[in-house]
Amino acid sequence: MSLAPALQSRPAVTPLAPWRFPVPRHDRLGNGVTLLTHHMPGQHVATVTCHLGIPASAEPDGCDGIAAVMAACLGAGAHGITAREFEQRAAAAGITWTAGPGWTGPSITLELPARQFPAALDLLYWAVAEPAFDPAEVAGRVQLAAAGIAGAAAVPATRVLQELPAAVYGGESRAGRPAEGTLAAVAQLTPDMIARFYDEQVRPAATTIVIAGDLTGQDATRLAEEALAVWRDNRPAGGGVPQPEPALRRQPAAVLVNQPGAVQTQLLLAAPVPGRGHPGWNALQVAARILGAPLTGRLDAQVRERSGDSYTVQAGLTELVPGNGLMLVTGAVDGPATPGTLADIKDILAAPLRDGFTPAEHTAAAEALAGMLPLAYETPAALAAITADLAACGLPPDYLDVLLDDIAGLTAEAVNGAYQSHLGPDQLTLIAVGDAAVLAGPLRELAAPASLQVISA
Amino acid sequence: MTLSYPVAQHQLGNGLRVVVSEDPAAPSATVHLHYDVGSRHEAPGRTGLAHLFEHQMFEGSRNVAAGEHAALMHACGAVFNAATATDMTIYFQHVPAGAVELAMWLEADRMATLADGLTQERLDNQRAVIAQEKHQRYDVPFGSIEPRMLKLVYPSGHPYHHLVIGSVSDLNAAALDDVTGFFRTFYAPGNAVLAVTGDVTAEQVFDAAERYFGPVPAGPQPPHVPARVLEPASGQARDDVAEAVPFAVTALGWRLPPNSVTDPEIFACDMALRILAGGTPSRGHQVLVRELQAAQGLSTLTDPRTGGNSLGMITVPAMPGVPAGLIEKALGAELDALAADGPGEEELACARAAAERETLAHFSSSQGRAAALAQFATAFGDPGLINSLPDRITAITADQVRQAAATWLRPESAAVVTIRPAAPADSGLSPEE
Repeated sequence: MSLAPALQSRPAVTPLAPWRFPVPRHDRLGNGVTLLTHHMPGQHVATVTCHLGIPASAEPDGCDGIAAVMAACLGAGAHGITAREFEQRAAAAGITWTAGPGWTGPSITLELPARQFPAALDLLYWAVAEPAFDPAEVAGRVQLAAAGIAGAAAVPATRVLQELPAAVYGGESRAGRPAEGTLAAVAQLTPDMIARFYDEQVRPAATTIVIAGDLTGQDATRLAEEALAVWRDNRPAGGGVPQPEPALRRQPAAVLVNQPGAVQTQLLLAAPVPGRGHPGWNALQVAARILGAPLTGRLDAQVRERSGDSYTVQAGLTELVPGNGLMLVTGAVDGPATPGTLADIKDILAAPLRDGFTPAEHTAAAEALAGMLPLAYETPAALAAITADLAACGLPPDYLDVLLDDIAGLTAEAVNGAYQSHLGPDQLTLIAVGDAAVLAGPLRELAAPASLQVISA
Repeated sequence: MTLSYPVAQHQLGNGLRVVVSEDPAAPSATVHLHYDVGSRHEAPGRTGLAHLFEHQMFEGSRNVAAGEHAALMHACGAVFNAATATDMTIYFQHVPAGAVELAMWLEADRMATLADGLTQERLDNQRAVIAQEKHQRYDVPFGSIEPRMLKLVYPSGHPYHHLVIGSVSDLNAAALDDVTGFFRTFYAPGNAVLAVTGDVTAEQVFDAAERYFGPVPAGPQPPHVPARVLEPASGQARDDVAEAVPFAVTALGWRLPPNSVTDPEIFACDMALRILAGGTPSRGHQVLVRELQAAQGLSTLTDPRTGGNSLGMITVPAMPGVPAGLIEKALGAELDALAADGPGEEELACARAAAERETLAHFSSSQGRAAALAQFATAFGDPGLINSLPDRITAITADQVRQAAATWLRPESAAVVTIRPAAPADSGLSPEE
């Protein structure tokens, strides 16, 4: 054996096989429920997601988060079934049950052995059609939701996200408050309020159920029809409060949440961009990738690979409110080095406004996105999540195909143009969680012209 | 349920074992390289070296510039990463099928020639990055439970006493020679398993492995580090800390038996932990969440290890205002009851169903299957164990669970870590701003 191995030369990558998003089978059940089904042979663990289609704008004034708490209560027993019995049935079948908040409405997600579809759909029927809203159980869920919000406020990585809506949209509009609600709003919810909200809002016609997993030998449509047929409710849903389109604050906010003694600073920068489906969003996907890919992005190249002042700072696009995009830059950075790191980040975000991105950067980012998207939806959990999200946001099932085709056709000039027209230098919202005794002065200067608001943890 | 993932194996002349599980329906593949080295192999005063070394693996080798591994993988859309644990270090690339050979070539180049790419400058940079990684994970509210627990569960000098990420002073003391020495000692083909899953054929992978990894010299046999298995602890070790948090979190930790393919005791311990604290049907949930409304929920951890005792934990965030002692007392009563009487059939069935679902969910991705195949090949010499794992878990009996609870999960052998609010507990729930 030679000590200096004669390694082969670097192999080429063979071209990607053409990929199209696996469009789900679409059914409308007799009672109006929308059913979207992905048959995934070989996937023994399936996902069922039930999206209730109740937007945050339907929540009564002062009751932010009631939709999510109401959804959490749907697993807490049904008529003739105690909460404990309900949980026991789910557990005996190996079914997990999780309710979560969302701007377009709360959802319930079940993970289950694929052979347990009938049991899962039966439980779902009892939960959405015949919930008990036992006062003691509901009070317990309210307390749990409040404790969850308090816990997230104590942890920097989640605290910055809690501060984000108000910092971007201002706390007066619903868009400016978290989908899961605030501690104050959630803590005062009563069992009566929650039961009434259910009665006014939960309807078959607004509900979408997504099923993903190995359905060999099972007819999902027939199973869903049988399980849910009895649930009939054609009453119009309550109107809620008409909401204007989310409006940005006139001046971007700068917020420092004081965490005395913190050794790191959690940073979150946000810039408003067009929403999904807009050509600008597609072009900015490429830009965000160039700036914020882990390890290879411009941000990590500086703050990780050169200065070593962060484990990672990444950038990406998201929507808090459908149709309204945000580019987010986020990471935890060394406490004392925060002012210098923040200045570096702002320089990195500003540089393409002058010089654009290089053609090589554009090509690499566009190819990365083309390769990555197909890999992201191989499991039932991932496929069910994106399918439910697209449906809830009113995006077409072939949305990702159009996105990929559009990105493939973009020129470097088009990406530069989109960045330069959508990301103004004075559009950055800044949220930081760190030690105000050290940071308040320097951040005040870096945040200008915005005035820094320091709040206690 | 018995699984039927296809498993094909081949060993190269230099000792590298190659495992393939074909899945022609998948649009992608995973190339996963598992090295039989982790933080348990570190010498005293050099904690964190295995993980520091993992970072160096992205800093270039003879034919790959610093950062080029990441750039080449990103350019084809791959998702890649690496992880260091107590008993293993893994590197994986989830790639479009057309990039399998590129990923294998990249792994082979760094296995053969990593030492060529090491520089003091890159070492210093990654040391700084790791210090930030450590702050981000452990120096945040609720973040110190794991390091505190390890110190209590495993005695000083035990290979599992320290965090995988190591101490900052040890990392600062690590020299380039230490890193090179670690590479020459542990990163040999005979100390590794390559697992490839997804849209590939076994023949194609074996052929590519011969071409890319075949020329890598066999290297010396790594030193054998014997397993250090201890009895359950006696006398409760405690660590109690006050932080700016809105509620207390209590964690109980135990030494458990090592992972084994012949002795199901570790599975029985896992079942016992699930029955005590695994989700809504558990005894802990019924008492602490439903009846007393004292806790937000309970979670369990079973971390099976081969170089000594496995780790078992129950973690309970309390409701605001509830003292941690109440949680510990209630759990103690449940631990005693399970050890005395064992589980009922219904609760055992729930624990089995959850364990089976979690195992199958782990295998739902090509990465999960590749990781399991490589781990079984490394720890037990048989990647085919993947197919019988669900059956081996669900075969655990009520008596085995009772025995496991009575032997390993005694309240008096638990280490207890408490994070409690520095201010009065109810301050966390007063509306702010």
